[in-house]
Amino acid sequence: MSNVLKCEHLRVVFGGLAAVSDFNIEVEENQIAGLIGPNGAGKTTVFNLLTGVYTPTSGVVTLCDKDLAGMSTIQRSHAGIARTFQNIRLFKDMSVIDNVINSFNYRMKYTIPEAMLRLPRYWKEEKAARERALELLGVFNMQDLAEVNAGNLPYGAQRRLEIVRALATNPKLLLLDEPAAGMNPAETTALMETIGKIRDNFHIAILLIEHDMSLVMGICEQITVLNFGEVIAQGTPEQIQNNPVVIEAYLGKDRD
Amino acid sequence: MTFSSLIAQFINGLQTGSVYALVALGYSMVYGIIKLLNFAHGDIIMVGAYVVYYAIASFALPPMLAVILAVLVSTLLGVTVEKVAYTPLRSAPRLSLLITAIGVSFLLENGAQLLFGADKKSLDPMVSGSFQLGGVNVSYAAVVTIVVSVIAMVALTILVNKTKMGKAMRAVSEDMGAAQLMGISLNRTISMTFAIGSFLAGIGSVLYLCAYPQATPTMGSMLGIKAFIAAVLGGIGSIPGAMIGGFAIGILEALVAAVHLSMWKDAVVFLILIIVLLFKPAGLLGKKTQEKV
Repeated sequence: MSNVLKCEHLRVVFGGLAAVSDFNIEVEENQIAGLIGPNGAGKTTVFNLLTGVYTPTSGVVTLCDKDLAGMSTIQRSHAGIARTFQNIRLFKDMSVIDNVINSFNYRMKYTIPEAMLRLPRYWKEEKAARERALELLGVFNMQDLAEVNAGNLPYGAQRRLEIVRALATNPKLLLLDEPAAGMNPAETTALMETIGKIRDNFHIAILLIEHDMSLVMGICEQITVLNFGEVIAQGTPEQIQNNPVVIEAYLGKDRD
Repeated sequence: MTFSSLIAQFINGLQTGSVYALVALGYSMVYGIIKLLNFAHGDIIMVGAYVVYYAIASFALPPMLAVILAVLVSTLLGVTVEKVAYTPLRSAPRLSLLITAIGVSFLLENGAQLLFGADKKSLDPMVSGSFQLGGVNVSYAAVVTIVVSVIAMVALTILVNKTKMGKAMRAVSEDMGAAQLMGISLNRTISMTFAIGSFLAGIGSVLYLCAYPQATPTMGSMLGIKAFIAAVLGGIGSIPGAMIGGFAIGILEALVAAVHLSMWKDAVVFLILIIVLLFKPAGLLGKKTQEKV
């Protein structure tokens, strides 16, 4: 199986401080990878490097063997990287379905005159977008909420909508930034099932940041542990759980 | 004052109010998307007016063609100003943008004075005549102005709510970063906002000429400020707010004139600005922005 995401020696320096240094990872199609580490370890910085929000000081990122160097955030989105946010960043004043339809924007081709004159291409593309959006909302059983303002959704539903919106960009790689943050255990269990379902139905690679260890250990096939911007361990959930370096990073050193 | 003269003033107010509303929409949309008070926006109208004047007076084009030309030139000018003056400053502090906008405004006003001279260029009225409606004299110009602006506003509302362009504009104005991550092009969306705003200003300039058929280099400045006040009154960033604000300022001016206080017209409008800023800074339909403590 081929790698969807590959990072080699990724490094970014902010004012003399290496926020991420020598980050390497390979994520395959249909694989769920986890990125964990204490607060401030540089996990979200990795996401910002992958999506082109930050430019790496050095290192290479490839998506399906294509080098992403020099590509803007928008180009990377079109190339197949989508993400959700730790602090929810939905378009709160727009309806749920419009939040999803926005992700189809660049694939819809009609022009302003076509829209104003209501020509066939406008109807065709808008109808297709609506149908596809409802289908995607169906993955999370959210079709009934389509016309609700995104800002009025309950917290858990907002998190799920963020995932739907990211999926709507038709990604090859989905980055989830703390998808279970603020969810109760029942919601987290449901979320785990859905993430598995997404992997199976969409055949994409998923890289997720999460503090909820039951989720990480439950669904990730490989885990990368960051501490102070450096990868301190990488492996299967079992290997990570028993790794003394990881335990030390999280709990501190044993005194004797 | 008789009832019929009150109605007549009210119609006058609606007429100027429609122009204010069209211009206020441009202010509000641009502010909504890049948080810029585009003080050069009023001057777009001045350029549109000169286009109409020269098209008719020098090239003897039919008025309809002159109108289309004016709207086209205004739209292009708006997008050009955005590309040349504002795009390079996208990540600069908002204050630099604001100062640049004032600079562009001076450039356009003084450029026009240099090119066209400081004197008034008067046109024959494009729409003349009037009719009686229940004892009130209504000019055709007023009817054309009100009808055209209402159509433009309905079209804009549909565009913003029902099309991918409008949805992209709303997404960018809410969260530029998230919109980019969803693959929405910032450059294209921002240019489109300027194009639509300037398109409406172009229509506004033609309608303004229906009421006051003359062009001067500084005509856009007071009109722009009034439209800005209309946008603030309605809640800057809000599209229905700009429409309501525009009509409200227009009607208010007419009513001030109706009680023979025409000289105080501008003062009253500025007083409204002060009152809004003091007591309801978010405007009638604007969203409350909470300050973080």
